[in-house]
Parts: sequence; structure tokens; C-alpha cells
Amino acid sequence: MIRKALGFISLGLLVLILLACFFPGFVSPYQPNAIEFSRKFFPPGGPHWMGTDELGRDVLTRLLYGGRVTLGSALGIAVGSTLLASLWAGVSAYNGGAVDELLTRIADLLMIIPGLLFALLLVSIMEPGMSSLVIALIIARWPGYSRILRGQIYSLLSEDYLLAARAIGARSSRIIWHHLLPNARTLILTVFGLSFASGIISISSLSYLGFGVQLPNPEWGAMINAARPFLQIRPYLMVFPGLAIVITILLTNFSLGLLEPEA
Amino acid sequence: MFILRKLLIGLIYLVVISLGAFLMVRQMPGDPALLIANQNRESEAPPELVEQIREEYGFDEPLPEQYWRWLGRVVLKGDLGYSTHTQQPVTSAVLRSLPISLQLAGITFGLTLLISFPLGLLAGVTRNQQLDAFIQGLAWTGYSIPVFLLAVVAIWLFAVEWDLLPAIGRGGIRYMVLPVAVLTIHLSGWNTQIIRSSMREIAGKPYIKVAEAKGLKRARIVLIHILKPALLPIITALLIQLGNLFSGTFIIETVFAWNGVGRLLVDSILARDFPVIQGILLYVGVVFALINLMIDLLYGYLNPAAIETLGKGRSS
Repeated sequence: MIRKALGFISLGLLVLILLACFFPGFVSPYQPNAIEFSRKFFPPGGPHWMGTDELGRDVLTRLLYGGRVTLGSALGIAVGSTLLASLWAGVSAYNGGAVDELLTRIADLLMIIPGLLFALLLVSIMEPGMSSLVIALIIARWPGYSRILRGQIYSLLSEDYLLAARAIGARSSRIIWHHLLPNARTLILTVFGLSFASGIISISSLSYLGFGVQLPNPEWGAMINAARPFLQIRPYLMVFPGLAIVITILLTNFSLGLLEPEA
Repeated sequence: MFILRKLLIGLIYLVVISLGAFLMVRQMPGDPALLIANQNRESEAPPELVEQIREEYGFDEPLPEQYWRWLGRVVLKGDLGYSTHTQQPVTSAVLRSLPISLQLAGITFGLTLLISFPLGLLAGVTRNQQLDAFIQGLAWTGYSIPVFLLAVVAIWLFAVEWDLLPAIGRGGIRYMVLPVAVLTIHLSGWNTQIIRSSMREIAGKPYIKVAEAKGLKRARIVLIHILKPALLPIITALLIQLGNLFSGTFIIETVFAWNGVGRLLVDSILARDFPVIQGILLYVGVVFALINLMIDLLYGYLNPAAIETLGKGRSS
């Protein structure tokens, strides 16, 4: 009961945060990249709720526009990798035999190099920019999710209604789309949530290292990197984006409680 | 037969990695012979030299031929070419940064075991649900907070605010405290979780109930009946976690300005220094191919039935 309530509240807050990031005009009147030297290093409070940075830019506004990049990219990674993993796992488990063997081997091969590193290596041969980062992370992350899903779909396959569907001559694509995937929904949604949280971590980590977002555009990890020279005098420049990352990950995790079966 | 098959798959994997590494550098713009000829030179290299290098490296031959020559140079001579950025040989750059990374990874891994074994064991066998939830919460916090964020907060508090430790760079043991501590906290989170669930899985088996009903001492049940069979799955899972350790080290090295392999890689990618990236890709590929082989062999030893179904994916 408590878990469900917590889940609903968290999901609601997460949606609110996403809305605020995609419609920042309702929350903040400022522009994210508007430089105003006369207003630099305003402490939090007054017209600037979270203060201003070394160039007089409003931190809250940058946080919202940055969230658009961080959370938007994480959503893209979650959608892409979950979709790819579901399809791969569905086809693999459904066909079994040599197809299963081959698909699983290919996925395993992609998993040998650690995910974040693999993504970085892919980024190195792509155009610099956020979309390359998203694509690279999808390629690096889906095999792991596919492995989780495949096992589950495999056990779904032994259900009687699938035998019935096959007996009345349903086509493979129909069985996969209409029977297998809907019944694996809880699991797929869980994987989606996990990949969203891991996407936030990966995107902000790589942006912190200097990949992806182009300056002066904000992104949470890049904001933390930019705040490092001012840790002594203006720690809030690092604290606010840091809290944004931790809070969204926490809310995602609590939202996943909604998917767990009632005790 | 099983081992042979695993070795064969490992070999195929190494070929794929080396092909990827080879093509990565070949897709670089510019004449490769000219690039090499201009290494360590003040002035433009004479055309005869460029031609001679083209001949020597076989750049005018078809790609498959070039790949073989390149592979021969890499495997037999350890020649990975020169950095386009620092003009130094790639092999020496990688070898120079390797001990730094190994030191960070080794110390961290050791400390992680010291922390996560007692915690995971406790959470895995305790009947106190609050204690279990508390340890799981700690573990979750450890692996959910991004490493770079944990590192910046640690620098802010311990180096800037309280001035207890140096923020970045390398030197005595004081320079090691923050990077090692941050990475240990992160990795311990993962490992505690793994050890806990392995212990729980075995603690739920019927024969443990029997052991309890017989009135065996709790310590004996935990150490002999639960821990012993859980040990190999735990070791296997910890090996799989080495990927997280590696991802962690390259972030830590960059944040704390340690000149390890991870930082070398990040700098090279930002500078688009492909020969260095290629060298590190090969090195990482070989290391993880070996780790993967070890995992597969452990699985086979662990559960002979797994040999039949291997390739169906490791599900634990």
C-alpha cells in the first residue's frame, strides 16, 4: 500500500519535472544562455530562486533547459533500447533453435566491452553532438536488457493460450505482437524505467567528461563540470544540478514500485 | 570440447575487435603514409620517404592485405603507430598509463570486497527486515549516484570546505584517499547487492529448512550450508562487475586528473586521436575477452548442465 502510494506520488512528481523542463516558460521568465554580467553570482533567493552563475545566467532556467537535454536524451535511450531489446528478445525466444543461438551470441558479443566505454568508442567515430551520444548509448545498452527480457519471454512461451493461438494458425508476427509482448508488459515497463534511470546517469556522466552537449547550452552533468572552479565560493552551482540528477533517479526508482505485484 | 568451443568464440571475438580497431583508424581523413612520414619532423617529409613508407606499410594494397600486415605489426612487434596529437608511440603511452589504472582498480577492488562481503552476507541471512532494507538502501545509494557527482561532492567537502585532503593530482597516499574512497563506495553498492541476492537465493532452499530443523547452529548453517555453495556464483558475478569497475576508473581518473588509461582514452577521443583510441580499444578488448572466457569456464565448472545450454545467455 505504502509502496503504491509512494509510486504514484513519485510518478506524478516525475511528470511535473518533465513538464517543467519541456515548458520552462511557465516556471521561469529568463533565457538559459542570456549573459548579464551585472547579475553574476547572485545567491539563491529573490527573483533568482537558485541564484545566477559566473556569467549572470539564471541557474533555475538553465536547470530546466538542461533537464530537457538530460531527461529528453534519457527518454530517447530508454525508448530505443527497450524497443530494440523487446523485439530482439521476442524474435529470439519465439524462434528458438539456431536463430535464438545466433541472436543471443550477437547480443553477448556486444556486451563484452563495458557499456559506457563501448558508447564512448562509438561516439569517437560519430559526429560530435547529443544525438550521437543517444544512439551510441542505445547500441551499448540494449543487449543487457534483451538478455533479461529473453529469459522471461521464454517462460511465457510455455503458456497454453500460445499453443491455442498457434493451433488456430496465427502468424508468428501476430503471436509476438499480440500475445507475447503484451503479456511481458510489466517486465518491459520495468526495463524501460531502469534504462531511463541508467540513461540519466550515462548522459550526465559523459556530458561531465565533455561529450555530447555543445557549449553554452546547458545539461546537468555539463553544469556540474562548469561549476567546479567555483566550488569554494558558490557551491550551489554544483549542488542544484547534482540534486536534480539524484532526485530524478530516486523518483524513477520509486515509480517502479507501481509495477511490483501486490504483496 | 566445451573449452575448445569457448576458445573459438573468444578468437572470433578478438578478430571482430581487431577489425573494428583497424577500420577505425583507416576511416581517418588524410593520407596515412604522409601522417607517419611527418612524425617527429620539423619540416614536411620528402615525397620519396612518403612513397617508401607507403610501400613498407602497404597502403597501396587492398584493404584485407593491409589488415594482415597491420595485425602482424601489432601482434609481433607491438607496433600500434604514433599518436597524431603528441607524436609519441602509442604503445609506450598506453604502457605508461597502465600501472596507474591498475593501482586504482586493484586497491578499490580489494577494499570493495572488505566492505561488501560482510554487508551482503548480513543482509542475505538476517531475519531482521529493517536491517536488510537498510543495507539494501545503502547499496542502492552507492550504485545509483553517478560516480562523477559523488567525486565532485567529495572534492567540495573534503578538499575545498574542510581542507583535509588534496583535491586532484597524484603524490603520496593522501592523494589516493578521495578517488579510491569514491570508487569503493560506488562499487561496493553493486557488489553488496550481488552478494545479498546470491545468499538469499540459497537461504531459501528447502535443505536449509532441514538444517534448521535438525537444530544446527546458525553460524554453521550460514558459513557451511549457505556461503559455501553461494561462493562460486558470487565470484562469477563479481567478475561480471569488473566492467563497472573499469567504467568507474575512467571517470575517476578524469575527475581527479590521474594519467591512467581511462583519462588517456577520454583525452584522445576529445582530440580525435585515433591511433591512441585504437590501441586502447585493442587492450580493453583483449582484457575483457579474457575475463569473459574466465566467466564462461567458471559457469561450466559451476553447473555442468550449463555447458549444454551455454549461449542461451547467462541469466543470473
